[in-house]
Amino acid sequence: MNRAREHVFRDSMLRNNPAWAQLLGLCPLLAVSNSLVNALGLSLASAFVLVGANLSVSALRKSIPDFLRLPIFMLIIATLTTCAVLLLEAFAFGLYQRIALFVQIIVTNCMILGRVEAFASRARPGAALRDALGTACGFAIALVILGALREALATGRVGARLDDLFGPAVGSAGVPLWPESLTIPLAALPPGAFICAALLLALARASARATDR
Amino acid sequence: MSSRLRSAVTIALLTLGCGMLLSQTAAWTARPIEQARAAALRDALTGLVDSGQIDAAFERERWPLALCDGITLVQSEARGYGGAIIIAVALRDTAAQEGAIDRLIVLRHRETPGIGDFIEPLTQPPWLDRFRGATASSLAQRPLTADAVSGATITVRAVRKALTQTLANAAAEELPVNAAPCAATTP
Repeated sequence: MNRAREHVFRDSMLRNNPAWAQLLGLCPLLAVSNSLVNALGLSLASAFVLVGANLSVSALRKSIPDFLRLPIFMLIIATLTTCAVLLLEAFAFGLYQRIALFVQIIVTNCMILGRVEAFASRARPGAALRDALGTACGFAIALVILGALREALATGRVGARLDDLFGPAVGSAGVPLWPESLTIPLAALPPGAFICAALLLALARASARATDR
Repeated sequence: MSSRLRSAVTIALLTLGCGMLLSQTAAWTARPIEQARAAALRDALTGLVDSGQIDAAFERERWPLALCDGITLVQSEARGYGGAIIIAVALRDTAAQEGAIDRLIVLRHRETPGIGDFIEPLTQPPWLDRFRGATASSLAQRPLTADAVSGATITVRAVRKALTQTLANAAAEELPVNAAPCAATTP
C-alpha cells in the first residue's frame, strides 16, 4: 500500500511530468520562466489551483452527474484561479504586476483539467491529493530549472527580486554567478525560452531513456 | 425528471458555494490590495514629483496639480490595445509659452505582456523618454518623435495620441502653476 502511494506521487512528478513527459502547460512554462522568482510564483499558484481542484472534484465525484462534469470542473478551477489571483495581488503585488496574466490563464491550463478529468474524478481524495502534489512538484521542477537557467544566462545572477515573494527579509539583488559581460540577453526573451526548454526536454528524454535500460 | 432536478440542484449549490468562496476571498483581500496599489502609485510618483509633494500628488482627484519650479502634474489617457492607458505627465512652461513634457510615467495599462508592455514603469522604458521635451508643435511636425515599436502599433499610437491631446489641452486651458523653486532635497 505504501509503495503504491509513493508510486502515484513519483509517477506524476517524474515519469509523467506534465512539462517534459506530457508537454502540458507549455504556454505559462515558456512565458513565465524568464526569472526564478516568476517561475516560483507561477509554480505556487498552479499548485494551489491543482491541489484545490483535485481535492474538491475527488470529494464531490459521486454527486457530479457525468454529463455536467466539464462545466463543474471549469467552475471549480475558475473559482480557485480567481482566488489565487486575488491572493497574489494582495500579498505579492510586485510579482502580480509581472505574472498576473499567466496566473489568470491557469484556468485554461490543460495540465489541471487533465488531472481532474483523468484522475481526481475517479479517485479517493487521498490519492487525488498525492497526484496533485506530484504533478505540481513536477511542474514546479521544470519551471524553476528553466527560470533559474534563463535568468542566470541572461543576467549572470539568480534569484533577483525574490523579495517580491518572500518579503523584504530576502534581498532583491540575487546571487551573482558570473560577470555581466558573459551574459546572453537572448535567454530572457521568447526565443531563449524555446531554445532552453528544448535543451532541457532533450536532457530529460535522454536521462529517461538511460534509466529505462 | 427527478434526475434532471438533481443535476440542476447540484450545479446550483456548487455555483453558490464557489460564489461564496470568491466573495469571501475578495472581501478578505480588498484591503491588502488597496494598500499594495497605493504603495505602487507612491513608488511610481517618486520619480516624477519632488519628495515633499508626493502626498499632495497622491490624490489624483487634485490633478492638475501645480508642483514646484513651474511644473504641473496632469493625467493623460487614451485607449490602448487592452484598455485605458493612464499616464502621469509633468508639464513645464505652460504659463509663458507652449507647454512641454518634462517627464512622464505610465500609471496603469493592460497592454499585452511581452508585446505592448514596454511602457511598463518596472522596465524603466527608454522608449517613453523620447517624449521628454516634446511640445504640441514638435509632435505635430515630427509625429515620429518616438519610433513605432513593431507589433505594438496600437499601444504606440495610443500613447502618442494621449500625449498630443494633453499638450493641446494644456495650451488651450490655464493650468495651475507654482513658480516657487523646489525644496533642495534632490542633489
